[in-house]
Amino acid sequence: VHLSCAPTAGPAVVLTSEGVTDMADLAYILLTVAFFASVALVARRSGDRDAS
Amino acid sequence: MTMSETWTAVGQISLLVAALAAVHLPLGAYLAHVYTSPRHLKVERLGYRLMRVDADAEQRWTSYLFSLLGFSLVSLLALYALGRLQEHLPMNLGVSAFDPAGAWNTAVSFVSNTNWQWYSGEAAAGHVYQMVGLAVQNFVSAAVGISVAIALVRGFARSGTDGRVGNFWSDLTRTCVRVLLPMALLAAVALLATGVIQSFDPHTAVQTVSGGSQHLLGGPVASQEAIKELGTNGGGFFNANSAHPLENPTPVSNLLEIFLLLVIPFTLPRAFGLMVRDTRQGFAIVSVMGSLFLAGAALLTWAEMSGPGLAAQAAGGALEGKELRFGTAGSALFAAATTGTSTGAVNSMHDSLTAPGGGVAVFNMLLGEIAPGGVGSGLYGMLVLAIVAVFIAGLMVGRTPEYLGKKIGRQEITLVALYILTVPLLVLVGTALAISLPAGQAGIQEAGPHGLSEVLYAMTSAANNNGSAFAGLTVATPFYNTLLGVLMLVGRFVPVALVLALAGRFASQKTVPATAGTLPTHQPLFAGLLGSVALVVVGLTFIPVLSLGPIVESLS
Repeated sequence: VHLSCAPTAGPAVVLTSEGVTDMADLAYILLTVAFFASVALVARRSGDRDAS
Repeated sequence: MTMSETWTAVGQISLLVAALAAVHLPLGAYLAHVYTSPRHLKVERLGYRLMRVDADAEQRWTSYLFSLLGFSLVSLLALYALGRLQEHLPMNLGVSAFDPAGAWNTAVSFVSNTNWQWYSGEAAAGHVYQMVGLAVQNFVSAAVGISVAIALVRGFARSGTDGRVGNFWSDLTRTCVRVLLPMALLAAVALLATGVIQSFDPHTAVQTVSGGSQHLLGGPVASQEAIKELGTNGGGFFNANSAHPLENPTPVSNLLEIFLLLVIPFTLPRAFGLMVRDTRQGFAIVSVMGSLFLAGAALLTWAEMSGPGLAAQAAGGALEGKELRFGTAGSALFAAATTGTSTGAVNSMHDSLTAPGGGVAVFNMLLGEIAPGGVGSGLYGMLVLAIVAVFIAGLMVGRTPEYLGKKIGRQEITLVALYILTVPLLVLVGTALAISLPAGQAGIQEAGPHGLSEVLYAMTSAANNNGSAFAGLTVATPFYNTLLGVLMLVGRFVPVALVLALAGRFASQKTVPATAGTLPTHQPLFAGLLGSVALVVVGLTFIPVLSLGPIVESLS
């Protein structure tokens, strides 16, 4: 995320358009990893039940 | 509808059936050999060494699934990165990077074997992205689907194995090296012979008939076209997909492309029959696939040839949105084949299909892509329905249901029920979100039932990993790219996980010998029951929304 200090009055930090894009990149990557991890976790629990 | 068009349609379908029948036995035997042979080729061993995997280790279904998920996750993130960094790639033709939503949608789309394209290929994708990113995924995502089907078949074929269903890395590599690469090479050469282009030419200036000038983009089209059809992928090099004259120039190339997208899905049941050592089971499965496909193709062809209105009657068919070099027969057969196989390639504008014709296309996808379905996914989808059919038959006669000597107990039928419910849930919730949220409504171009049909088609196409589009919906927005991406992701990998869990459970079970009371699953009675189950499950799930879309549209 690109943060820049505001020189005068106003918000202390502003999120640039590049920052918004970076946030979107991060969000899509996290969504993807979370989905695959969830499927794997549920499968492992189910697999453990099968084995026991 | 003219007699010559009718004979053209009958001739094309007959030729197609004859060609598919001719390769069914030898190719099916070859596929069965590929997945049962203990020997690895040298090039495969090299691949295993590079990937640092032991291809001889039998994996439990969970390990098989973890390998599959890990491979797909890495593929997805790599393709996402390629899309975001496209402007820095060589041979990028001056295109800029995809935005995050677009790059993610495309990455999910190609890794899930859907090939839904929100962008125009020739305007938004450079050569390296198409070849290193998209074409590679065309091979490996198809190989993933076939691997899952083979794992399920092993589950039926094995007895008491502690849930071991094979080795994912071996199945993936063998499918690419021994099946898809050689077949795609042959198909690319055949497509080249019919006039499909293969070059790295940048934009070439040509003079048009009217004296103007036009810039045509060249590219490695034939090689990509071959695996696009063979792997039931569907992502076109050009935006017009198989309607583009450089991608599908003649009626001969059109018929060849239809053959390519049907050949593996219709052949895998033979390999299944051989692997479970009862080829009659394979014939029962392929007969149901074939009957549903032919019924869909005949209905769609009839609907397009007898299109409503004076213009259609004068032209001998509903020609809007169709290429004259294919005619209504070649367009309708392609539409039936692409929606029946989860391919998603198109050679006509599906938004211009007649209302009943469009309804058949949607219904083909709603069937769950089983007639004959995508490479691998068609076979495992049909086998899951076969389990539902024996379960229903077991309830009727009061016996514990069995399929191929495996008992269908509470846990097995729970997995099957989850499989059956996943895609309808995605389609219906996705459609509801799109028509109720302002961001979704903004993309709908037509009001009324046709607008609903457009949204329903898009959600159905994504959740079933088909990828074809009605093209009347504006989907190049973060809302649709994200929603459709989620549908593609969940619609691919949740069913895959459930199928592998099912494969593991069956592989663990001891095979029960058939008795006098066992339901024979190779006879026409069972094939009829299986086809009926497929139609009833779809009918009960989707009739309400179909009534509000294509059905009310064709009645109005």
